[in-house]
Amino acid sequence: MAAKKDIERGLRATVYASREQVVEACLRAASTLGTKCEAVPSSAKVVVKIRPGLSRKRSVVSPTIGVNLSPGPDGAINVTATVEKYITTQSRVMFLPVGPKTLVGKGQLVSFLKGLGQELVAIDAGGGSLEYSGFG
Amino acid sequence: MSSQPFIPVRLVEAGAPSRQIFTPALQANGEPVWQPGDAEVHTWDINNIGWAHGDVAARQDSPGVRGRVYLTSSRVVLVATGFARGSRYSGYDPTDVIVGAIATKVSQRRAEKASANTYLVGQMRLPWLQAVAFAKPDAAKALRGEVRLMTQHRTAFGDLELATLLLRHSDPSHTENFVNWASHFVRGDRQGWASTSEGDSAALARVPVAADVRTDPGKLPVILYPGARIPSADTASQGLLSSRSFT
Repeated sequence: MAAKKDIERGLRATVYASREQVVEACLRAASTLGTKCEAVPSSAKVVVKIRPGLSRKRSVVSPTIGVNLSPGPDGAINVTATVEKYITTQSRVMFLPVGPKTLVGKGQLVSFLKGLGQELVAIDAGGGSLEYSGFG
Repeated sequence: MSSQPFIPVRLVEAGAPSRQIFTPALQANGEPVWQPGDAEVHTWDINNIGWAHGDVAARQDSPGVRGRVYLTSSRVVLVATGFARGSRYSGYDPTDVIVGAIATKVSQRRAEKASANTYLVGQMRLPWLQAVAFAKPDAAKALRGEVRLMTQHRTAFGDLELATLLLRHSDPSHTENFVNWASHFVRGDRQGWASTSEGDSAALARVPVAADVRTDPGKLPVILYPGARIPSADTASQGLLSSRSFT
């Protein structure tokens, strides 16, 4: 799939849980990617930076995912995860592009979003909702 | 109006109208639209604009931009171009490297053309400024020229969180000069507020000169400005100098 579609991948959820539990769920989802993933939480957002290269130190950051939290109905938390920054790559022969642009770190992005979805479902006290976008 | 989450950096088009409370408006030549509170203006070149909510590790930077920082008696405004990046091409043999360099340059020019008349801007009003962290001219290379302007905003949940506007001077020796002028303006403005307590006023009078601030190796020196306000439309024109921005 082309990068244009890849960067539309995201997640939107309403979770009946405390904000701390949601932030912890984000951190757990990020930790499943091991050292390739760095998550920095603040009170209303978790910034997840993925470094898909072999060496964590020398790898570029792509994508950067913003997991935004906001108050929802009846004490629920609205969670939206979107790609905020990214790098693409494209196959070329003699500098002529021969394929679509692809997102660097696409696999890790999908793993993180699916992991986050599972974590949010697990902490939901009931009545919440979860919707992936860009996976069609 | 109650306070709201504050994102200090935005993209704006020159000539687009704005009340300039949170985001500056720009003239056609890329300079800020001046307000009555911008009585005295100092400018320096910068090559990085960034911002962060909470921990500074969550920062979002735009390195390698070509910009200016305008420090006025009521606000700090950052304006930059050159933030658009095209594709990057590389190769293995010498011919590919040369062709790749040309292709990269062409792609960058195309991206810049596509973003013509759009500027990356940042703004921090001085009534909101709680602290400044800055790198000394002899700081580690990764930090050299950096200035962090810090305030506290209210998140969507209503609690307080650090919001930081980051800039990097092209010439690292200008950071102390910038901080000294910022201290001068903050002190002059804030000491005139009716709401400033005697304790805060005395603390403002004791704000040190940048060159005198010492810290542990690896840490940035920090200067605190007591009596700051939380970013909101109500507090943007809190002070004597800054209030003139909205008259």
